Amino acid sequence: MSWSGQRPPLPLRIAVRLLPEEVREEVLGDLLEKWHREVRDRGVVPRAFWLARQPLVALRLRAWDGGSEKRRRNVHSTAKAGLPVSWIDVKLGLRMLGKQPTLTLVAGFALVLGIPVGLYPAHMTRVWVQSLPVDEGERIRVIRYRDLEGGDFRQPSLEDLERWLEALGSFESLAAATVGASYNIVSPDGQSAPVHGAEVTASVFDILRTAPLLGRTLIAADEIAGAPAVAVIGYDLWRSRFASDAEVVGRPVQVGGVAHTIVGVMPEGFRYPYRDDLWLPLRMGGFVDAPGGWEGAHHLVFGRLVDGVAPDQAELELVTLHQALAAEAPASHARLQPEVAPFAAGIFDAPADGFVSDPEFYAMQLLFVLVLVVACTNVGMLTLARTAMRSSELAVRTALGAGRGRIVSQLFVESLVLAVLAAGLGLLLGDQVVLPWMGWLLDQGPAWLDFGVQPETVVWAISLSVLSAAVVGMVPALKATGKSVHRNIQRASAGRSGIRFGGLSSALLVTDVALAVGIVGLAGFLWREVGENMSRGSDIPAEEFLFAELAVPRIVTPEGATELDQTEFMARLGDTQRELVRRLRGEPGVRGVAVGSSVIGMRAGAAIELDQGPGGGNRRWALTANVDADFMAALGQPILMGRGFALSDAGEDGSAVIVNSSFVEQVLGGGYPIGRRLRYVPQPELEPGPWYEIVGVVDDIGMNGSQPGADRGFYRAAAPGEIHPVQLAIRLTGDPVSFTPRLREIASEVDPAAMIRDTRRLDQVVRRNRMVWISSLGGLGFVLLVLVVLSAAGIYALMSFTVTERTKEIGIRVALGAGSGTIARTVASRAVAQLVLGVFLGMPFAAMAFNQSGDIFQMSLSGVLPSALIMGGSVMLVIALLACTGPTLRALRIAPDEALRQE
Amino acid sequence: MRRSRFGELEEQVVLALLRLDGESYAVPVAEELERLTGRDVSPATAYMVMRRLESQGLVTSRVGTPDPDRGGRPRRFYRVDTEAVLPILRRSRNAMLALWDGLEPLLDG
Repeated sequence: MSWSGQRPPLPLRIAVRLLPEEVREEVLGDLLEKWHREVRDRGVVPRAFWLARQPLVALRLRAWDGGSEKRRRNVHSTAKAGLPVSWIDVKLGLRMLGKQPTLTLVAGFALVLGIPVGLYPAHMTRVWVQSLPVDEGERIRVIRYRDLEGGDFRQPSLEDLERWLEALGSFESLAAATVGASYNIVSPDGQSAPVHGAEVTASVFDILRTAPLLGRTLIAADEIAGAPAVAVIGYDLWRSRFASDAEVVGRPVQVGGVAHTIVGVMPEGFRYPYRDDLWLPLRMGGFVDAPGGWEGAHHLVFGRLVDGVAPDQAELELVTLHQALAAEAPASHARLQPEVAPFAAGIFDAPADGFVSDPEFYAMQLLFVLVLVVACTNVGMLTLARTAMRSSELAVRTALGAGRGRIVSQLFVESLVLAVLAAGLGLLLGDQVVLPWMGWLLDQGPAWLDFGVQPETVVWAISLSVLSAAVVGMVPALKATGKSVHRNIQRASAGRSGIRFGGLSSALLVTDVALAVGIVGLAGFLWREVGENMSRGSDIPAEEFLFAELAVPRIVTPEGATELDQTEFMARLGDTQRELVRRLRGEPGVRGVAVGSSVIGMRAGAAIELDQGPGGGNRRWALTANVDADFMAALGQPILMGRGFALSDAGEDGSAVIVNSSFVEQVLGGGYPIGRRLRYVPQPELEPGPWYEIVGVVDDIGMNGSQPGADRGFYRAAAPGEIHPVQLAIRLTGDPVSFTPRLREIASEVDPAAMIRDTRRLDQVVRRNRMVWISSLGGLGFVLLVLVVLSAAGIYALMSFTVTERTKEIGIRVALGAGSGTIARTVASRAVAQLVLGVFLGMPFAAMAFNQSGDIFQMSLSGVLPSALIMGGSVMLVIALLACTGPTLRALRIAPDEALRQE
Repeated sequence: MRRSRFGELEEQVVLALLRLDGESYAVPVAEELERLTGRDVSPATAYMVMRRLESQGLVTSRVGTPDPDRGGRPRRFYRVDTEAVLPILRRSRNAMLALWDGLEPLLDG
């Protein structure tokens, strides 16, 4: 196994970050080599221990290292000067965790969730700008243009690349590659299937410093127009389609209908620049200037910086070169500014600094940290009550000479211990569960993208732990130690805390309830959505259908790429679709073929405008699909009203559309649909499209597979050549998946370059889309519910503490003849007033949160807002009253003589 | 300023280096120490000790070729300057022997 395409394990990366910068690379090399031996020679447990120990070793080395002597002296002098923190505090903190397990559990749970949530935006900004995991991958940088007027990014042209190749001294070499393309491969066994591939300049392999496993990589001679067509294949492709044939080099392979010769096989894990398994020479003569000109592909220009040259220096050189270029070609280049960006930023069109200079990033980061602060505030309320219970201990310590700073620091360290442990656990869960799950959601993203926890993430986690500890421990500690020594001792001897919950706690309680109202309402709504999604389904027997997508390349030939224009491309796609569907309908076992730009479970939306009538006039959002005339019949979908499509409806002049039931209900307000007209309104400033007439209605068949509640849509009859992308739903008598090879064979016979992609049983397509949606909503709902539970715990803690503090007063009241009702009113009246105030203040917040969520999840929540608010308010009142009940009952049980004996 | 004595770990690292033909890098040094002393030494520790010895002129270093097992990173080989370290080792050994002199029977008992 080789480590050159893999990111070192996280503990090793953390360990080297703790060491001086100048030794990191070499020590990381040593640690990797040793880890390699550990993996080979030792069991899972001992090597996991070894791995976990390395950051601690590095921490000790940092302290031991000669250069840190001075730092150590400084730390000592600081401690003497005024930071009275010791290991004893840490030990005390650990002991407190065990002493109060319930509080530890509740607080730990809140922080385990809260700290990773607070980290999320900052972590993701690092993910979007990560370097490639190859040798000195941080030196590989993308060159791109920023459009100074539009602000978006553009890929450079061939002329730019050639000029940079001649003049740019900051890069060792430069390369260009297509990104996101796929090619139909016919393997020796006759099977045809698409694979992800890239057309690359030969320099790509030098820049990535990766040698082939077999044969050779591409060379400069391969790029010349007219050179023999050659291909380098990836390890996975070699294993799966060529049976790991050791003699594969020199064998022919059909790529997009053109015979190529395999000249090399790349090692396992080499999937660059995206998730590629096939590399063809990029013929420079075919390099297309217009970005995104090819089907699903664009070009990426990147290079390896000369050792010692910083990205800023390279960018400065680029800008200097660009001035001459802009003067020569002002029309195309004057508004462009070249920049050097990390590799992932180039792939994702993210800013080079990963959004950290974007004000929206700070707004989002603040929002996520607020969630943490809310969680911490609730934990803080619990801690405040606990601190109050310890007031006698604190008073005695004060009397024995401990300063306020000493006591506050001890309480802070106690909370810090909990926060750091919780952050560690949260990061572990994130690294092992949540982030891999996100990777799964983005299963079509770059194969090398690492969502895992980065060393920077750990540093941020520590910062947030300190913040959390400050909220959880320090604020209560300051409040608990605010009184004079004399008064504290006096109150402690009377069995009371010396803490008064005045304005601060009232504000906390009201804010807490207000937030919780919105959160409960939103969580309830999301859970309802999840429930509906789980239970709702289409009548279509999706398990009998094979789903597939048909694609044809814009064109690739050995003589260099020639790009088809849009009309030619659509004509080619239409011809292929027509012939493929004709052949499929003649196949034994095929019961029907539905063709559409969006079949069940897929999402494509459009802004539309209706003619006058119910719901008319306004712009509305609806789902839409271009489908062939047989679409409904092939899916077995009856026409509920009006008529189905006729062959004459298809084509550019056709004006017939069929709408679904949700469209009738949600857009037409349940009015009679047949004969009504609608048209596309792409943008307000553009002319609307032609009018279409509604000729029929069908039941909802799941145009929006992930979110049936937002399924309103309409279908337009379209001829081959008007449908793009071309999605197929083929109904079969037997197992649909087993028909895949035959489908590919037919497609290959129709057009050797045609690709059949994403073949899956139709019900699996629907299920996956729903799972993504449900798990996203479910995850959010879970976090929100946790916040609510914490709110309830916080309210309970405050109420409980208030009763304890007023024990004597209640005793006197009872002794003076106060009845149960009076006592209950005395204890609960203030809390109830705070709760009611919180509920009403929470309404505007909830309304705002709902509007934001509506934007995020693309659904209109205005209709459910009142009911959600009522639900949120009611639930919070019930929870809060329940939280008051226990302490109030306790107050009613207080015996006057016992209460008075407390003095 | 030249050192007159080693710390315990420094002495063990120098001896391990001498046992490895006078020149080696962090991973074999750490493994040699583990094999002979049972002490679990991280390669990072061995590296940092040798780097410190280098700063004091007791060992010299050179960079090897990149290796795929190390993610393409090269090894740093350290060579003991025998002329510089032998007097210190000799002094240390003599001191230990002098301290042990006459105490061997304790070990047998």
